[in-house]
Amino acid sequence: MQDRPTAPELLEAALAAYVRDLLPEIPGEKRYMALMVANALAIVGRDLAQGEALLQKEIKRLQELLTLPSSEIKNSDSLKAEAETLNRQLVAQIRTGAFDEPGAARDLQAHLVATTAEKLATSNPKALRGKEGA
Amino acid sequence: MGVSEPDLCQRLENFLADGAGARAAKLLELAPLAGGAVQENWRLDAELADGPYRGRQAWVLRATAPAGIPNSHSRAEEFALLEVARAEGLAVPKPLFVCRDPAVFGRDFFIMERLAGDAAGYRLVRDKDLDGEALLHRLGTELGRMHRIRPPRADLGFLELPEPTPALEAVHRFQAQIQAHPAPHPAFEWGLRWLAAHAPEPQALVLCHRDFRTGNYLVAEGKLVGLLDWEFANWSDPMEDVGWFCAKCWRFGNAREAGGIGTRDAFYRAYEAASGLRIQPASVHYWEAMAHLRWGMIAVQQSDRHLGGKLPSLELALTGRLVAEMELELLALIDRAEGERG
Repeated sequence: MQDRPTAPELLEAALAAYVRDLLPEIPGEKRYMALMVANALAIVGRDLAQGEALLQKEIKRLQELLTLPSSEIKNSDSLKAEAETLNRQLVAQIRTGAFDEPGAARDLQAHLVATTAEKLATSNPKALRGKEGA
Repeated sequence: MGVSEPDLCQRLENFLADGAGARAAKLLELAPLAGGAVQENWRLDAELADGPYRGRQAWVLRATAPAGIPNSHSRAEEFALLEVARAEGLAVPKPLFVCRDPAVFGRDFFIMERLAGDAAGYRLVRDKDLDGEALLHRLGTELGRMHRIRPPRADLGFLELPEPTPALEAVHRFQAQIQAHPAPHPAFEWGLRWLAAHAPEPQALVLCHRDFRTGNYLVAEGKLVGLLDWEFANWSDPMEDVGWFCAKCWRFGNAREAGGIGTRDAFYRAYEAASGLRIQPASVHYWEAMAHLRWGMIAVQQSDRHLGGKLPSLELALTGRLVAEMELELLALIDRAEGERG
């Protein structure tokens, strides 16, 4: 077992030091690149903090939408593999028109909006502001 | 690359002298210009010994990027588009000489005049002194005049008429791309399903720029100077350009709906007056949905260019995480259209 700080804690400390102490010293022509580095590290931090929980929620919704029995998955690698498999099934059904009826379309639309919002909660939370209830 | 490479320098000088009808040309500066993930733009200053371009010239060398994205024209074709636009009186940089010989620069390029001004969208939408409505009047007028260029045109013979309609051709192209992609993209699949079912008939086929948006035109002191980046132009539904221009993804975070700089009304009125066409709101809405799908698909390709090792770049990598923003707006536009349908 690794000693603390944990990976998210260490990343948080590195990002804070970078933004507070290094970023202000970076000259104009390198600033855009420097901001991109800070952005990428912040995304990784949010992904470590909430990625698995969000994936669990997405899988649960996909199982309902595809009328599959729900199953709990703990391992993070199998979580990703399961989400990918279910998303492939969803894509196949969209292509055959399984969600064209208004009721099914509404359910699918709600799922896709929720999934996209979850992705943005990690990748760009600012893009979600003012979107609540949309 | 630059003036420090003697062979390249010599080859370019020979080409410039030849094109400009001068005895000799001296390359003074060759440096990359900002922007252009798809094409490379170089700032080129040269001194011509004599002929019509005698003296110091401020030009741009526009070359095909080593890892370009598909569906864009060759430099020779883009050069021809600029010539047509120029002849029709549109505000574009004057195209000067085109080079199809890869021995000169390693790939195709052309030379055009360098216009003063700034194209950066994020700066423009934050400019408090900008008269956005006046600029939109100019932009609407330019787009309207562009849309008076109609097929057939012998000088644009390389352009293809969309089959069966502009919207459905785009849908089919994106369906093929998404089906070939290794990762599942359910939001884009659903978007494509909706776009296939609601494709509008165009009121006319016109010359569309197909990348007409804030960030692709030069502004100097609040005035329009030139329309850039003609590499995607083609015959299409005029509402495609209107939708692309107004799409949320091209407002650079600003709330103003026409290109992030002003009202749709100002843009639409000038456009209708200059084009002789009517703005069709439902069609514009449709093409805005298509715009987010198209941007999203480009973002996937950009991210792949990084991931595949073709062009390792943090900027391209982060573009992959922009995809969800395009999905969210695409879904919102579908939702709104369905809501209005009742």
